[in-house]
Amino acid sequence: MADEDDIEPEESEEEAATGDDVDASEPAREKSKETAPAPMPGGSELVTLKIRRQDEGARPESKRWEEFEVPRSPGMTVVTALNAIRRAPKNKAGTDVAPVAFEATCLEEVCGGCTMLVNGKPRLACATLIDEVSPKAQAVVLQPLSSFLLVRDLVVDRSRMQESLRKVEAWVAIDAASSDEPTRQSQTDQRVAYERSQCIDCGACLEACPQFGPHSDFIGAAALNEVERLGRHPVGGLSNGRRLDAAMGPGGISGCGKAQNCVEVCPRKIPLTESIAAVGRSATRRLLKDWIFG
Amino acid sequence: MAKTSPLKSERGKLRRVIVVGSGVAGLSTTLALCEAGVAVLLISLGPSSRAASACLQSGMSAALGLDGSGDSPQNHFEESVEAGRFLANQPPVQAMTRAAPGILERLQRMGVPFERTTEGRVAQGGSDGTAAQRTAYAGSTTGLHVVSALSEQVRRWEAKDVVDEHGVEVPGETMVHRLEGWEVVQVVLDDNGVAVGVAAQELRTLRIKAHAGDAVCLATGGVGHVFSRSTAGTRQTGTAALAAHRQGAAMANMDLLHVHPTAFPAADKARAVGEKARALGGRIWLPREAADKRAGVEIPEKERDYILERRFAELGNLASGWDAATTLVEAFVDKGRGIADSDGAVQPLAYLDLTHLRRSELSRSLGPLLDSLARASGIDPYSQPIRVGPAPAGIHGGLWVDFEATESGELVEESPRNHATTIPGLYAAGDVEYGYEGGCRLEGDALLRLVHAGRMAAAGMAAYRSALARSALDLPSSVFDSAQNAADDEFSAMVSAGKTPDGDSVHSLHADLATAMCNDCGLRRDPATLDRLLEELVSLDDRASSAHFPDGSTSFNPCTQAARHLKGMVGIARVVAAAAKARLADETRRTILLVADEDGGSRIAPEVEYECAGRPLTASSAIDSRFFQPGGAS
Ligand code: SF4
Ligand code: FES
Repeated sequence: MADEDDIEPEESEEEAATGDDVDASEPAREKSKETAPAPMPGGSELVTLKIRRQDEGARPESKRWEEFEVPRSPGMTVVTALNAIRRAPKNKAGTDVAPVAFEATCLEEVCGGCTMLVNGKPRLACATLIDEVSPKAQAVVLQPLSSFLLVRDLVVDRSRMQESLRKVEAWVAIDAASSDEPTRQSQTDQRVAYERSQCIDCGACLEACPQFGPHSDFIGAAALNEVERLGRHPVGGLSNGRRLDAAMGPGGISGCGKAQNCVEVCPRKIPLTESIAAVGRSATRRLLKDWIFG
Repeated sequence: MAKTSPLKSERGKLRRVIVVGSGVAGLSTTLALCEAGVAVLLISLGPSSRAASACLQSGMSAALGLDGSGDSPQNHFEESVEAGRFLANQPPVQAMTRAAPGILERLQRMGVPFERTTEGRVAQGGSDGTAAQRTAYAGSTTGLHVVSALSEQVRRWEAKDVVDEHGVEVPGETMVHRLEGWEVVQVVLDDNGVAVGVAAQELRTLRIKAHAGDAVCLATGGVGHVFSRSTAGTRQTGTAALAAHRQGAAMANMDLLHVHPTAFPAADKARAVGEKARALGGRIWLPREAADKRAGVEIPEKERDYILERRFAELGNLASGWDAATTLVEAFVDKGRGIADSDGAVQPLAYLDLTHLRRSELSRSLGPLLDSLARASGIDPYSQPIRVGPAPAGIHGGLWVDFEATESGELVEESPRNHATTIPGLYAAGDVEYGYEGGCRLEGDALLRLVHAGRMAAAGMAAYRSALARSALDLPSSVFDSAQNAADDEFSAMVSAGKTPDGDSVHSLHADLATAMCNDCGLRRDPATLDRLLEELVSLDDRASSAHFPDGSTSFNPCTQAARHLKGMVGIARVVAAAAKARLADETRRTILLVADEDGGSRIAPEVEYECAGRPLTASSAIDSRFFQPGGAS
């Protein structure tokens, strides 16, 4: 997956983990004052970004680290910093360079486009505050997701996720011709469905998964969660067999090594391990049934 | 009438139509086309999950009449038109509100996790601009789920083989062929000016290719990124719409600013806080004293001014977006009110207060939204009021599109005129066009309008296609070659301009543009400022043509895309400013029609002649308000 060179920013990885524990996106987090953000940490007015660059997927020889300095501002995110680099693309040594390529569309944590490794962890860049990942003015290390094919700099090709969804037939097979009859669903089922419908195709769960990558055909947590979610739907459940068959085939549920990393990194807090376990149970039931009834 | 086979061209090629854009409108168009047996080439910048419509927090309104208040599609219709300040054509709005219950039910069958009543029906709550309980929500993320559900359905058609009239599968051809990572740069027009395809660039390789299609639908979204501090994402640039405009598609009502009344000013953008927060009981207030430096929670009840509740006795905090935004702007600009910083500077912001609401309820209904606001603001919205203010979201106007109604105002669903632009064969659906919204939309109509527009556009395209005498796929290849060459030349010119180091940088020019638009073409406008802005935009347009970008890569190169979007956005800004000026000069209620000028700007036209399926027609600036007028029935 990642070559040795990529393991370099190890210390910051740990620090990021600590930073994350503090934040943990706890909505209950209370702050006594709502006023302006804390003074610049470490008294530094600049933040250093250490960025893994590569001009093209097919040109591994262009792989390099490059450092940039951008002004710190209150509430700034990793995207704010990358935008600043884009406006004035000069590296720390003062050389004019091509702006760092990155993907960010919605800027509000909904499109899933901006996933990258921040201090070694897969995160949404637009949801990652600089103050949080660089509390003591240390450099923020940005790398592209390593489990997908690289396009350029921080941009990767995640089209494999769409292929996995096609593979498991991730859709509700409605009758086009039927009248639009309402479905019924209990409030409890809706809550479960809602929680599991939050996927934004960001790819973080796949990046964190030791089983997923160019070396394997495992479809990963996001697609298995869809199998589980669609199977619970009042109409979707009627054609659950086809999705389960696909999930029981090559690259399916048997590829899960139960590392449980996916659930840790999902920015939408989807209970991925529960979903995978549920698919596993349904798959077993289906196998038994086939076995007993032929 | 037409002798052509619906499936194959005379040369034996599979006939497809083209849909550009894979947000809610494009997906809905694609789906309805497939259901009508029309194969689609779906072209988009990226996967559907990145589409702007996924960010819509608003629920979906449909008058099911289950809340016991006697709500009906007719009420819904009247409230939509009224919120739109009577600037929308009424027959299409009426058809939309009538179609709403069916659309809502269909979406639940597709898997959108709408909240439920104890009896298991779709629960309906309040929304802005109405006292009715007719809006179905999937938490604060309805847009995300509607995008997922529709893209799942389209995925299903991507796996379905095309079947000919004898029920035999056409090998190797699926109903939807999808191209992701392509940007449409031009519409391909044949010698008669009919749309027969698009020229598009693959972002990974920068290769440009012309694609043929029997009809083309632009569902490319809005233009919000033209304004700084907007709630829009980075792809809402209007670039494709501008290309079509310059090729002959009229635009309409490009002056009508869409303002989101309650957006939190985050570092990277203004983050909309959807009206569901107010529908649940969220209250908007201003400190009585603008100079009050205390934190919101510390300001006692009697020193708070619940300004919307005071102004709008009936709807209170759920006043329509337009009413809420203009009321707040009036307080900020004319009365100097707002929220004081710690250094005493008064910011044009108000408090959105949710602190009196039950935490469990809030977290269940708005959890993901409140979490992200907490991160962005460092404030816990459950226990502290959050600062919000009006922010531009885009423009209600867009490409002008037609409709056909009977004398009694019923829409003729099988008419090729529905959603046709003034370029024959070119259709438009969604935020890219001007229909349905008028001068403000009810947020509960935001998703509804996108789904419905797609279905209507699809019906229009299917009717257009069956009346075609010759398939676009039978045209001589020279038509496509020359379009491809033109697009290639344009791209090369842009790249060589980008290499000249003395030009302004693409990204700093965008900042200049967006700031100018926000300052000079916001809610408050005056003729002198607009004149100055128009001049400035002409010079920005020149500077954009010679913009510098420090990236010579000949494959994936985001700078080239940014340069194209910059040109597109400056062009859109010129249309917006020209329309704003025209509206100020003559405030009678009408549609402002715009056609492209030779000199790169746009001018106002009282009417525009065009043709649809062989019929000569006229786009007019009169509004079809046949059902009712401000202050009573017509
Ligand atoms: S399941 Fe979570 S982590 Fe995985 S792609 Fe979806 S949102 Fe991202
Ligand atoms: S930019 Fe859309 S999730 Fe970050």
